[in-house]
Amino acid sequence: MKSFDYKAPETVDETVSLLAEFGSDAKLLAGGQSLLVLMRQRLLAPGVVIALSHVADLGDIELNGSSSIGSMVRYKTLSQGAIGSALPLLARSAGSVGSVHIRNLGTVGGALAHCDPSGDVPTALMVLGAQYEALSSRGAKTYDSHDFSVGLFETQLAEDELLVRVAVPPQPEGASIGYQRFSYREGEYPMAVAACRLEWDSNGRCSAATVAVGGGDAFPKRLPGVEAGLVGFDFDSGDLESLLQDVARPDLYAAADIRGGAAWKEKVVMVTLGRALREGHALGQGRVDA
Amino acid sequence: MTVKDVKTRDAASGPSGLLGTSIPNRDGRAIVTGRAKYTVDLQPPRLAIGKIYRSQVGHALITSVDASRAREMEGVLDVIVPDDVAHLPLVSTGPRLEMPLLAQGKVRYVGEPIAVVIGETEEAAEAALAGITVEYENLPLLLDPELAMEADAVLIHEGYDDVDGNIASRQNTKNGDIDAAFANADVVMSERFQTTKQHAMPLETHAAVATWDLDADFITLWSSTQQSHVLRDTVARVFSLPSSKVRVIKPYVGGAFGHKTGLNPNEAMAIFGSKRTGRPVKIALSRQEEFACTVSRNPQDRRVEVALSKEGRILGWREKIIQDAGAYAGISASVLGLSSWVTAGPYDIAAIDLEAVLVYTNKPPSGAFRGFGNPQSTFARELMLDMCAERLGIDRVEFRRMNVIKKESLPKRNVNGLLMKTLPIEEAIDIATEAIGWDALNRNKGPNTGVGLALMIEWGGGCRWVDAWDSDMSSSAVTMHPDGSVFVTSDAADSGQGHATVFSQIVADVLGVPPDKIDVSLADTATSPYGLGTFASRTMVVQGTALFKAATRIRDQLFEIAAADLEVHVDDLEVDSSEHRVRVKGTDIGKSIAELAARTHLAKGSLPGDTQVSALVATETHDTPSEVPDANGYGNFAGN
Amino acid sequence: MRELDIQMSVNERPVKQRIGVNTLLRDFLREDLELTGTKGACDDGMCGSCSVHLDGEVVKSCLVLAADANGRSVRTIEGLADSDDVLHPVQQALLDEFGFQCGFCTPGMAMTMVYLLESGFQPDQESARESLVGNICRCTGYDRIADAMILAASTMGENNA
Repeated sequence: MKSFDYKAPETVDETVSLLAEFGSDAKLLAGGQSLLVLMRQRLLAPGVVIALSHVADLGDIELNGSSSIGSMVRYKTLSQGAIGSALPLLARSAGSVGSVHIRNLGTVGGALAHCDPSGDVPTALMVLGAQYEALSSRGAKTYDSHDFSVGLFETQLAEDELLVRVAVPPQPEGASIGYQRFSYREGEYPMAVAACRLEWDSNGRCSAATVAVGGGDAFPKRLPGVEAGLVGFDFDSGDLESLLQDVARPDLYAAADIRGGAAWKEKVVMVTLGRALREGHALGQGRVDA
Repeated sequence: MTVKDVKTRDAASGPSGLLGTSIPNRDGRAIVTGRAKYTVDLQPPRLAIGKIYRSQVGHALITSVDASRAREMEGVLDVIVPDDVAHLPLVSTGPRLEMPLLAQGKVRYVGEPIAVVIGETEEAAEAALAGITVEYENLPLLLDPELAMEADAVLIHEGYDDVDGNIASRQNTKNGDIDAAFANADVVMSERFQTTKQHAMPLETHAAVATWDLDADFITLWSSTQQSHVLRDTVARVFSLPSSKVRVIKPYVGGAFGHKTGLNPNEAMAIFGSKRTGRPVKIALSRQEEFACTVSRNPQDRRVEVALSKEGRILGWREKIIQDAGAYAGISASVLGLSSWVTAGPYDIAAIDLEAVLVYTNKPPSGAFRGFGNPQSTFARELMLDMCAERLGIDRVEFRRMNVIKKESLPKRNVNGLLMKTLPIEEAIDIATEAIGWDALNRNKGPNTGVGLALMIEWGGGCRWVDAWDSDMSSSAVTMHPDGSVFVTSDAADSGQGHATVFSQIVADVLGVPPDKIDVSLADTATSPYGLGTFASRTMVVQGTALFKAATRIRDQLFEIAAADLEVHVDDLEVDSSEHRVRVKGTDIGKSIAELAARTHLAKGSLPGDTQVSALVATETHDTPSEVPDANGYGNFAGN
Repeated sequence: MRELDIQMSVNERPVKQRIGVNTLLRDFLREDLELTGTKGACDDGMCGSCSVHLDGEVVKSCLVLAADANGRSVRTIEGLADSDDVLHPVQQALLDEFGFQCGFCTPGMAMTMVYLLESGFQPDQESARESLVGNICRCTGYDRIADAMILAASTMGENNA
């Protein structure tokens, strides 16, 4: 790949200053599992690469009701241990990415900033209502996950902003999660990812839902139509497929590519979404062990 | 069910007890420790790296090539442009020499090599590709073979008498009374099948390292190839040297599957680049280049018609086949030939009529890929048979049993001209359907699940028509050193099959030398005797037979001496590899092979009669009894 | 900076080199250190033939800048065996189960297997294959590779018992 000016800051402040100085000509190197591919294929040729591997304070995790996850926390860490119990949806999505190699190096901050259309972790975090804290020389800014992604590989992050932390609010009591993905081959970018968080009333009907899909558009997104449509839905007697056909399908704009045409990909998203919702229902009703 | 569940013959046989068993793969240690060197691992001193500039358009005249900016870029040693190699002859893996090593005046597919940058580093060479500017005058792009076949289609190749428009060749096969078959049919089925341009994707991409020693005027080429000698001779012809001035060495090869034959642009340009720069040059393809620009499987379009009796007999088989050659025909006509001649498979069909054409299109060239036309043919035939069975209301396994060639009728030539001497196809159906649990699978399969059965004749071990040479030979040589240890060499080009291991088993068995006293070196033209290389599953049959013959000659020399020593007849002797000796059968009396070998080299007086000293070297060639097929595909494709 | 003086431990030996910052760890190992056991076979981090251990974790060395490995420790296929005579159980298992053909994927496979097994993974055929999705083989169909991983797990378990 083309050469560049390599910076290895050791603090967040240094990093932010570098971003202020080099802005659009700089790229942040987190896990490198996406950026280095793009640079090797000559799709990106930043003049400056700011390596985050030595920056202190980006790898911390705090779990106490709400969760705070440093942007350089690796997929591997997210998929195990304390996070695994506290936020199983996040753990499952992080544990599904690529292969063990990718998970050892890839980071949550990298996943969010890169914004792959079917990214597992961004999709999951949207469902959990996460917020993303960023820092620039202009100050701190917090983004809400539900509208953080805005286009193909495009987020609201400004060129001079560093994602510092992911904040996950306390999750509703008694809520269950569902998570499904589809790819032709294990370890590949998924064609479809679906995540949901479902709350239940005393009659066993859904009382609230957050639902997100990856692969259903140029970026992972929430499906407000589905969320509204699920309120009061009875999974045992209701026709989920019809409901999704009405409230999910119109919101999908998959792009045709080597994996399939738009209609096929949207169908796969729909099926994956149905599976995720059914899983959330089964877990919510205690019918299946989480 | 895994590979290991399949019954294998595991009975040790032969005097060494090593045939019919698995001994450790002797390449294994080098492989699992990472010491095995593949072409791309070679790093001679002062190595320079070449990168190919490839056409971005599919069919165009080249109006100009400007490399002036590239030449000025950092780390660039040289840029080779089409004019620099216009004097080099055209090449092909097939009989019509039609492919330039760099496009000359015209490009015929996206990815066709136009220029080469030689740089100090890979990065410098890669960056300098952006400093080359090519101007094109676009021509109509022909991607659909049917459109390419039309009378007014623009010509992809011109000036060949035996090319009809964009039809590179035709292959018609007609046997039996096809008109009667269809006239008498109760049912005629008609269907169209199309296959894709698959790439074998060997994990190691095409790679070459070359040095042109200008003082000695000697070319050394290390390449990931299946055919060291054929490659050597092509290099010699292209660069106007005698074969004696070219050496091709095959390092470890990371998979080939048919794709690594002939002289490829990366090899030729590494050689030419070395001449120009005075440095060793490496050109290794990226994965994208490998996928998009190297040989892959020929797509086929097969319109199949089958004449059937209502009882379920296949009366006649008719096909119109269009095979997509891509921009250069290479070996594709041979692929089409094989693909036609296996159409009837193991079935007893009275009449066949195949009209096949090979068509140029503006795609990267297709050619040899394991199967060599058989997969396309089998795919169409077996699906068609399923459809016929369904139409007739007959179980598809029963339908096949009804129509295969029966044992009682062997030996028999099928309607494609293939002589069947043994054909245990009915047993194969029994074993396969039982092993997979066919009945239960079909009963219990869920929705969107398919269960299939296919029968085929696999072709390998001998073929006399690849490259249109009247030869299917290879050679092996055995040298026994004075201490009784052995050196084995052959043109066999291993790419993971384990040739060296099996060769050591053959030699151990014939010569009584334990494998750890056998050294094997393959596919280095400086030491390996001439042969056509490895393809078509031929190596155990051809090089292996040659090896058996060579080892036997040496054994016979040793037996002569031992028989005289021990005062027995040679027929009373056998080898004993566990003791590295020659032994009188049924006794414990023997002679050490090391002693025999030493005396043969160095102690004339101790040898019987007029026996002369000898270096104990034997080279043997095996040419299969295969025959060039006639127009209807009749011939002999046996390896032995 | 465009050039960097790096130092790291490679197969337990200290290494010092000036490199261009755009040097991939894989190419640093293969070209600067002539450790060609680690391979490269794709352009996008999919094939796994470049797998090495970085501070004990298996990574794809084509997706790591050598500059980012500064001050760290790397283990390659060349560093697996104790000595010429004593191979790592994973290497021995690959030999015993014929878990290779052309061998191009083998170093990467071995490094991934070592990492997984050293972390206590107990595979069967299916889970072995799933765990190795980051390493592509074009020759074998994976079943003997999985057999090797199962055998190695058993050997390593015995060694630790």
